Amino acid sequence: MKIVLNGISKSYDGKVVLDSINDELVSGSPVVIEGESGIGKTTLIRIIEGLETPDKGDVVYEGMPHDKCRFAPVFQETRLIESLNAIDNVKLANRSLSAAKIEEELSLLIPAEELHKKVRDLSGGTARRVEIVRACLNPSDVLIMDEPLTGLDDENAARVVSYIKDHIGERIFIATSHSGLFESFCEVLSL
Amino acid sequence: MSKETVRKALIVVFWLLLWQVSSILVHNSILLAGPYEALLALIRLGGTPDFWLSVLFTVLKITLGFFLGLILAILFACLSHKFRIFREFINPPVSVIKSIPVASFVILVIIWAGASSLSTVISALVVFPLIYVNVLSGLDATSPKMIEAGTLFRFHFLDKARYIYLPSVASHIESAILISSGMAFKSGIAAEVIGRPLKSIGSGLYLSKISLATADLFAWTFCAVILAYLFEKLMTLILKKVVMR
Repeated sequence: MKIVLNGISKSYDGKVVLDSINDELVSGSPVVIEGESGIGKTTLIRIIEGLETPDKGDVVYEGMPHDKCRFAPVFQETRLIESLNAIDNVKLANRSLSAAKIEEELSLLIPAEELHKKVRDLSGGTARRVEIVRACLNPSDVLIMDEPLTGLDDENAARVVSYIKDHIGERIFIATSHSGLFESFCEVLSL
Repeated sequence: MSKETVRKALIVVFWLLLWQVSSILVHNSILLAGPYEALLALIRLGGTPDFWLSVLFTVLKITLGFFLGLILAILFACLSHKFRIFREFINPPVSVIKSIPVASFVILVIIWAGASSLSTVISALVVFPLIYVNVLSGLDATSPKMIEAGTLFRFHFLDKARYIYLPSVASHIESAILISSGMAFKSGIAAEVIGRPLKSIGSGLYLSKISLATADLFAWTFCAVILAYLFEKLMTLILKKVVMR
């Protein structure tokens, strides 16, 4: 499967955010988008997800129609169900997984005593890791992460990157990041 | 017994005493029957099967109307949230229902459907716009970010409803249900007074009026107030169990 970006351009209030971006995202060839804040990384991610439309250019999903393409996102800010615990949040995005399997996966990144706490009682960094596990365990074609390492210290960031690498599989992977941690296994797309 | 309870009880006793003293001073049970006479009337009425049948039929009809209005309002609000054209299409009738006096509806329903289903239709019409507007506001206020997350992760329809939309709708619908449950009883009984269906609280009130039995009027009114209160409490309980989980 392949996602082709054909001359993607986007402006907000006359300010050009993305100017004719061309690239190919192929399964098995992970990509990390790098660039300064406000340069349009999130906008590009949202355009690929189909949440925003470009002013010019288009996104071609080769191998399947866009509405059939399954995304597993990590958003720039936390978007978990606050009234549920970490396990239930992951379960909601993949009903076929057993609670034991989810617990086992979450335990790789989160202390056991945090697993049954409601998300509203978790720290930002822990909630971030829950989001990453939720995306990684979601059956999808594209694993797409917007600043997944936000709020994580160096040690946890390294563990998270290793966890993500182990879970990409055959999926297309694309992430935005200020950290250089993804560069060890991702092709860099600089904006 | 706490000081708070005693204070509240003393306030109620004060007003009952004032009522009793006023009725003694007026000395005309048609103009103002006292609480003691009203209590005797309630006991007398409570000893007749007709009283209990009237209460039962009124409660059943108004409850049916309430839930009919509630279900339709939720359904229509969901459709309006989903389809802009449906919202625009449904706005004029909702505005009309909100602004037309209940008495006009009562007369129309009597002409079209007769008096037997009157309180059901009227309570449904009173409940519908209030719930519709509040549920729609709640749906519109749902976090677009969470909707995006639910959509991209392909949450099951019921999970989306429960975990994304319901938390937003809950705060809006709670107050609307509590307000409309009281209004359903008041307007339903008012409609019965006009339409006088057989075996109803409204007919009891009407009979009190034409026979100038003020004590009976107070007894029926007390009964209606208690029923509305109990219904509101029941709704609060259901809301806490179902919606606010």
